[in-house]
Amino acid sequence: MAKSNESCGQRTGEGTRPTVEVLADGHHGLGRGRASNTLAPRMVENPKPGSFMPPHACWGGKPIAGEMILRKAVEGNSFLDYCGRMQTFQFMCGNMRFSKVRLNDFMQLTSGRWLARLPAALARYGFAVAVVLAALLLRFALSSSFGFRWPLSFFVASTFVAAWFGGAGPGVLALAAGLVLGNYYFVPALQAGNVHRPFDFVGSLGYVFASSICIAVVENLRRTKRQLIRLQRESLERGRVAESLRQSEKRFHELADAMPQMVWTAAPDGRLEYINQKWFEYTGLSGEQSYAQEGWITVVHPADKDKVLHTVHEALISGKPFQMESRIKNRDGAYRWYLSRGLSMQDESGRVVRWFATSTEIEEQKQTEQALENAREQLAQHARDLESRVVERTAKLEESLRSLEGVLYHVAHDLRAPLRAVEGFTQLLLERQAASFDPEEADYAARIISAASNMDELIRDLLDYGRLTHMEVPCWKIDLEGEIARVLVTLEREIKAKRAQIKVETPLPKVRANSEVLREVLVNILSNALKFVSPGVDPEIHIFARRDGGRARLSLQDNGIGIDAAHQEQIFQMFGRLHGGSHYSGTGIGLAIVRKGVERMGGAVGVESQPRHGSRFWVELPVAVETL
Amino acid sequence: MNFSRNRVLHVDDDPSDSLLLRQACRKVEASFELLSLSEGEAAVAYLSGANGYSDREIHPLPVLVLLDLKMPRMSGFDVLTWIRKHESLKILPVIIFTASNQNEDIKRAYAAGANSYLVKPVGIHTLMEMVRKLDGYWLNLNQGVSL
Repeated sequence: MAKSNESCGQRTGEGTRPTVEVLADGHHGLGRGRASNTLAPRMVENPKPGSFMPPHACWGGKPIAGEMILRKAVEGNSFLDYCGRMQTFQFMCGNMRFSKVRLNDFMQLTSGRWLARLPAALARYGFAVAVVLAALLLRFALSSSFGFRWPLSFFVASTFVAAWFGGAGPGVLALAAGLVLGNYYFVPALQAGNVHRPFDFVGSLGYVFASSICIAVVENLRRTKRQLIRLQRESLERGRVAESLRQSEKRFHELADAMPQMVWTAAPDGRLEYINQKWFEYTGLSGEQSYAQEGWITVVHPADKDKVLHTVHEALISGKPFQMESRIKNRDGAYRWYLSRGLSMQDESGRVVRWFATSTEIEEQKQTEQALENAREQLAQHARDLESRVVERTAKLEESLRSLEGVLYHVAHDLRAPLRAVEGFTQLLLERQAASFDPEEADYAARIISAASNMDELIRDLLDYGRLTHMEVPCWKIDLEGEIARVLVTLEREIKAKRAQIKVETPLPKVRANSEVLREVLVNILSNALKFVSPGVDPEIHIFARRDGGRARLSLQDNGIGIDAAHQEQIFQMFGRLHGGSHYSGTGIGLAIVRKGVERMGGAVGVESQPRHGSRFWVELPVAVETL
Repeated sequence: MNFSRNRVLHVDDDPSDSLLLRQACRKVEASFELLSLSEGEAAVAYLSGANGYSDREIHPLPVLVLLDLKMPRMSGFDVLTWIRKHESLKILPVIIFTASNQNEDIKRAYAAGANSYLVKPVGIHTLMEMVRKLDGYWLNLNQGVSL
């Protein structure tokens, strides 16, 4: 690109003349640190053949800025009057380019680059030859005036012209041609042919010398001009870049000032370079105060200062984006919450070139958050209160329950003490005075003993039921067969007394249960089966079990008096007695204990029965998991 | 009066229970001589030989103590703890004989060093059976150490 630019307008042989366009549109250059690149001139092929726009017109948008920059660019070079020359060069440049566009058109008619270059070179050299021929003709035309004097002087001019327009090559060609032609035609001795006159050595030497100087001067001028043009272009480009940067900066500031947030930019060391209008409106600080070294920190809430400074310093060191929340004082002295975010802009090498930051008000958000937090705190407090109240109440309830239990036990035990005395002494009295008691008296004594015994039984059952309700019932694997065998031993005396037949169908499954509770359950059911038979009937009890998935159902079938369907639920309730004490004695708590016990073991209990056809009580318990 | 008979100390604040137990012992013709005291303090005095119990000829050390738990002032637990702390008495067999069948009481009694725990029955015949077994086991079968 540089090479092409440099040859602008001079190298007529160049087929492809690129046009330079400075692209200043839309590039603010922010955020990339590549302003010089993005704003660099872009080369395009001639967009429309034949409609060429001279470069100075293209560059000339801001001539004053361009001149100023040019002056600056070539400062120290005292050789030229910069402004004047520049105009000249531009003019010439424009002309040459005009001709070159024609060549360019020609080039586009022909195909191939080298083909296009060849006629261009031929034209330059042809022009040189033509100039020399013109000089020759002019010399012939004026030979009457000049005679044989200055035979080569015209060719100096032709060399100059050839060099001026064609460059050094055509100049040398013109020099050589002029030397030969001048010596041939205008040195008389050679022309006559008969007088041996030496070649006009001195004249030729002068001619060559003069022509060479011409070529050298022209060449030098061309070079200087080229250099100037390059400098000018570069300066203009730089000016354009600076201008576009200034423009984009201005646009940015306009945009930033219009924003509802605070916006600022800072140098890599944190020194503020720009702060938008919102900041001044909000804080009421002057520019001087704001741009002072960390002057902005004075409006940050004292409680947030350390955190803010720490965050900023940390970011300045690391170059990484930062974010923080802080309270900033407004012009009335009230603090509001702001969310500040900072981003660093880095160049290709990753060096921070600028910081860009915004502060957005989040006061409402903060207040909402605070309200939410308060609500949450309140809720948590309520929950805690409630919880502690529940714990307190539970503790109180447990306490009262415990004391109630304690009272119950004490009462129960103390109730039994007189029973022991009543039963014991009546028994002693009965035994000692057996001979003197008449049957009626003996019956009274027996009734006292029986009543005491019944009451003792009732108290014991009540205590059992109460204990079942509150005791822990750990369950483990229980062998039903063994458990039933033990229960039958316990009831042995009663079984014998009733002449009962008991058939146990083995094997029985192993279940998950509490041995103590299970035994109590079985004793109660079996006692009932032994007790509730019609007079004169020997009890027959059939015990068997069926497995159903994870549950085992133990059934105890008797041949007793049976239970009416209407009462089958009632019997499991506390004091749910169906018979008066005269026929079948009992406390009415036995089956309540059964139900409570089975429920505490995670099982179920029920009865299938018809009056006079016996009852089948069943107990369902989880089957024990077989472990190896 | 047979002086060679073993003495069993019965501590219970309920005179009816004491009388019933004495009657039961008499009826089953127990091999031991029962001495009933109505207070824990008295039991401690007897065992330590204080307050007129110093003469071991008349007040020999018992081979067994039947101890009620619920007594005013000094409870059965207190007496038991005292016995177990006393160097010469710590191996004396103590059987809790009480109305309570509460697990807490049972655990606490065993933890304090009781050798057995019996619940007072309602029914003189059951009580007699109990005394018979107690006599057979603790006074005859069981090998004790003379203190």
